[in-house]
Amino acid sequence: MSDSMNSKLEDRRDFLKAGGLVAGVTLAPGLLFYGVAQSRAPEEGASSRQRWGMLIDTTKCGDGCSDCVTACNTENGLSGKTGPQDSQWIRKVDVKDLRTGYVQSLPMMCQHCDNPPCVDVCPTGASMKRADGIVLVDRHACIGCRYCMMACPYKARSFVHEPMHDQKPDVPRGKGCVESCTFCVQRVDKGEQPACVEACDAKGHKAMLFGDLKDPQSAIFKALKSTDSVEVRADLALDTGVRYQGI
Amino acid sequence: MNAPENLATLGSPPEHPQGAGRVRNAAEAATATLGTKKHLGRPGVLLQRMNGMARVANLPDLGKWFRIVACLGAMAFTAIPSMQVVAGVDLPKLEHGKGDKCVDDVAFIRRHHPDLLKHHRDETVRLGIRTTKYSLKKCVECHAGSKTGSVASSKEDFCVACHRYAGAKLDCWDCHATKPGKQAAVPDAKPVLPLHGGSK
Repeated sequence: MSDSMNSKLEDRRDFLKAGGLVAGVTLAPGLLFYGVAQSRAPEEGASSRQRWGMLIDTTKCGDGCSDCVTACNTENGLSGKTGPQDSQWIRKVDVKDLRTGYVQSLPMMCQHCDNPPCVDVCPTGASMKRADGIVLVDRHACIGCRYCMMACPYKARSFVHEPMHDQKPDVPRGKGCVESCTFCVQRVDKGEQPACVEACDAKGHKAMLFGDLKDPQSAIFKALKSTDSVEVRADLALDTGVRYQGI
Repeated sequence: MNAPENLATLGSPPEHPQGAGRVRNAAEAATATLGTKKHLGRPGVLLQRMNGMARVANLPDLGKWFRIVACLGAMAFTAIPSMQVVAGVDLPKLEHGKGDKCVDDVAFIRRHHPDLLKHHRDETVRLGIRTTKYSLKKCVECHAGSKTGSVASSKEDFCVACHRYAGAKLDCWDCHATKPGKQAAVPDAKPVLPLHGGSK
């Protein structure tokens, strides 16, 4: 890319940031909107200057609320069934402290690891990590061997057993392929938030925070810097993109 | 395709430049051969060389009929290749897509659309490049049939019509949506909300 192109892009970013700042200041003082995903040009691919991640505050997550799951199903065209052969990209998990009896509810999905075991074991290269850290399955190369499902410590992946009909144009899905949470990559590439995050915000829980882990200005960067958060199964050193607080 | 020319050939063979030439030559050749051999006046040799046919050809009345039959035979023989082409399957009739023109020269798209789509899919899935020029989603938005609203639901639909004709199996639609999304402009779609906000 030429220098002039770079400087143009920089100018545009600065402009957008400034716009966001102004909007934040005018709409509600103290509430800044530049933490949301920044859109990029369609011809501009995913860049390693970004890394998408999520912070889930389990103390805010509503017990019995499954709006994130419903939103995911609607956005991605999943049936919503929870049988052993049905796809679940995000599921609500209840965790109980056996000694005290304290129960917590939290959403669990693909953790978008920096060192993803699913990518390590994939024999065809179908399981892959995009430059911006989103872990995806390239269905054009997936042979449905399901090694990745076995390798995933979070049980995040599903296999499509039956022929599909009436898929969403943005979310191709078909029999014989493994699939999992994509962070709603079709929305993220447009500069929008994943469907689950939007639903959680709409419900008023605001338990899910999505953003760029590498951008010091992003809300998630600041939140991670100021609060204690953990990876699930941190002992595996996978450097997950999804982190939890309150567990 | 030169189907009309071939049809004309079948209807009236002598008018076709190549066909007529071949027929005339064959007929002349047959006449000449028979005539020469008759003129030679050596039936014994002819009998040996030309077997039964010449034996009959030596008879003045039957010989004429055999020349005609030979001519007809030659004509039929030259017409065989044309018949095979005409007897083929009709080219698929494709519905015109939305808009004035395709994203590129139509001949280029016809020839190269598999490569373009394959290239684009890898860029989109693996690199996150989401240009729309060669996107399958955009193909579907323009070419979904007016009856089914899909590119691959019936035999007449855009993708299936051609691929059936070519005998090339498609597996794009095992995963990809064959109908445009709700965001896409559908010609007959009525607005969800009343335009003027009033109830009737």
